[in-house]
Amino acid sequence: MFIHLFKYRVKCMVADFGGMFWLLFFPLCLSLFFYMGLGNISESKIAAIDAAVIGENEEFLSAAKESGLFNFVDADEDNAKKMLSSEEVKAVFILGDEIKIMLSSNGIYQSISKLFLDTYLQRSETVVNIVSENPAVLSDGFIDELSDMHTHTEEMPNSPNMNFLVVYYYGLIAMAVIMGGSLSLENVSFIQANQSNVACRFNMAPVNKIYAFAAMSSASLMFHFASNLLLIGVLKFVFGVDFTDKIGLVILTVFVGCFSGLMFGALVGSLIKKGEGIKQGIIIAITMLGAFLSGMMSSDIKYYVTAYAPWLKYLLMPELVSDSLYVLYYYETLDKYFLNMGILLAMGIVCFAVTLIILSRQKYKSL
Amino acid sequence: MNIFKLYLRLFFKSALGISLMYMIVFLFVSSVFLSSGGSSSSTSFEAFKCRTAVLNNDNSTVASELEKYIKDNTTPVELTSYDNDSIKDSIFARYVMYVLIIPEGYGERFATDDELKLGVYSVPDAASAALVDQMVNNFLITAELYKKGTGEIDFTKVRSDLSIESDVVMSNNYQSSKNSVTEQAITFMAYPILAIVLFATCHVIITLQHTDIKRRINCSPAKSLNVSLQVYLGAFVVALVVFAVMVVFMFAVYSKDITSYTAPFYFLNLFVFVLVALSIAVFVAGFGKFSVIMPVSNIVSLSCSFLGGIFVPLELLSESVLRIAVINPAFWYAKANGIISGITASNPAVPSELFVCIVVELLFAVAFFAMSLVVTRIKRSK
Repeated sequence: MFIHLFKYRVKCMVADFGGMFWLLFFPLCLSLFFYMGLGNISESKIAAIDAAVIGENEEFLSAAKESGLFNFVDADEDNAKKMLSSEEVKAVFILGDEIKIMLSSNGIYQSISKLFLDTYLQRSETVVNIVSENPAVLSDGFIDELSDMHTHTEEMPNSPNMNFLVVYYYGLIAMAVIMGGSLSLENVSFIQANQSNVACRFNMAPVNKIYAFAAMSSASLMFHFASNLLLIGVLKFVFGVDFTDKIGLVILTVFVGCFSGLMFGALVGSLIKKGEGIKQGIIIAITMLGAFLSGMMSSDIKYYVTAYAPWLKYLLMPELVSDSLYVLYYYETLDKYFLNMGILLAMGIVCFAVTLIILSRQKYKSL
Repeated sequence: MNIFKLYLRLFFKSALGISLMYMIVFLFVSSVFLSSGGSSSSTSFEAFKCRTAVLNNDNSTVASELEKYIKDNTTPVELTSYDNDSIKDSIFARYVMYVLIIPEGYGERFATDDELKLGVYSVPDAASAALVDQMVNNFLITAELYKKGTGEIDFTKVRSDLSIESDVVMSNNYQSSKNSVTEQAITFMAYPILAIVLFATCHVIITLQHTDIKRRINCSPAKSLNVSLQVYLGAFVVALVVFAVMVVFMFAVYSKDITSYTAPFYFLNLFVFVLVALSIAVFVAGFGKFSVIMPVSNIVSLSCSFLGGIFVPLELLSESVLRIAVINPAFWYAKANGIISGITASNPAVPSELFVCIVVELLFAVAFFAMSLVVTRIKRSK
């Protein structure tokens, strides 16, 4: 009987266009949109800035070349201006008695170029001030020290995994995983005689409701887990989303998320006696709220939750799934990951236990 | 006008709730847009200001002077906590790009052989972080030079030296800001318009195509053309209400940034895009079943928005996406908004490219409407 119920539940899920769309095709489409829309977003990286020079000033040019900040392009005045207009160069240094900089827009590379020139002028002023105040420094090797200045900062150790765009994909996975609650909603409505005609007929058969619930939930879990594995596979191998080398733990996260999402749906289905639309609405609202807070629509939101309301992520399943994936990606230690997983699993077990109690206690005088 | 009245009744009964939900989400996201910053209309160079946090654990003069200098020349950010994980989270989220940690006792050991290093958390290889690093080192090297050259650090002189700025010559085609927040927010309106108009129109038209309702209408003395016109009028009125709400919102929130030069063109572009959304909706409804309304309206509105420069500015889309985007009406809407934002009091000329964009949008509207007529004709013949 278990196999029979399992098989028919799988058939029902495969035949349901709406369910297949929201649980499988919609996340896949969304991941494609993310990939195409966000794929070209990247940070301005440190790189030699293309710049042109008009005029002569050996001292400045040697300082600029020594800094390694610029990639100077040979050009006469007209060409330099044209290249600036077409953004082939970011800045044009006009050298002479007074050094100026020509720019065509605001921007990070333009700011670095200007800061370099500011620093050059400021350093010259500082040396002039010091020498005029204390001329003896000229014989003390002070000038030699000028070229020997060291940096005063050191980078603190941090993870090499810094691509913040993964947050969007992790939020998407969290949404897809917890959205599975709608499958359990159907499972419960197939078993509770006061919710559907199928359930009325089902209750006439000599099958234990808990047994039937277990068979249908197993089928839903298998189906939902498989569809999410497909999503993970597409994200990793087609869209190149980075899950680091902890792919085993990523799959564990998805499995626990699928289980907890399904049990959450079962709890909503058994606890609320209203129409299916309202119950679906509750599941979608909680899932989308969790996905929103986990950064699916804006990666900034995830940070605001972490910084200002960290307790919130322990209340919402999608947040827990997304945060677990984030911890696996960014953190080297796993203590936060196991805390998240523990809470998520506990939520799933509590939902499962309450659903069992509700289902086992329901009796009908007539059908 | 019974069909028209029926259309509106059906809209209020079954599609108003979802439409309001989209509207509320839109208002929320727009307020997030607004809080994220303002547009720039300056005609002089504005240096990039990196979001920077400073944790000063030292009470020396050099530490406090450095902190002040960095805060004056960057966008200072306060973190809720400065523990290791909180700083790392803030760097990952790009809430802050550079966190400077000044250790205790830094001032005492500054410019000695036993000098402490300042700790820095930043996004590796990010140019913005390199800019702040350059500032920090510039300040400290200047202070160090004074200490080594004169035996003491006179911070008045350090500040005076560091206040020297080079002359910036702006080229003739200087652009202060390519994407203002207002332009982005108005461009973003395309998403709720598409989502609401698509859902509401499809929902009501498909309800009207229900066999019983259709038979009842068919046996009435109303001509089929008249019925169709009333349905289209109903859809147009609903779309017009959506447009009016958007215009009111635009005026209420962005009135400071919308000038008399840009306002008419923003409205015209928005109105034309509403027509496009309406024509897409009528076309989709021609195929429709209730079970596919939500999926199709979601996919159409999200794909148009993601791949047409609504969610992500056109400048950030890849070449391949931009090549596909020309067959997306949202692309032309976003492009037109980009052109409109360039119209200023100092440069009030309206580029002909703007009208090209609007005409292309209109052609999309006509094409979808024509296709919907063909679909309807085919369905009737069956």
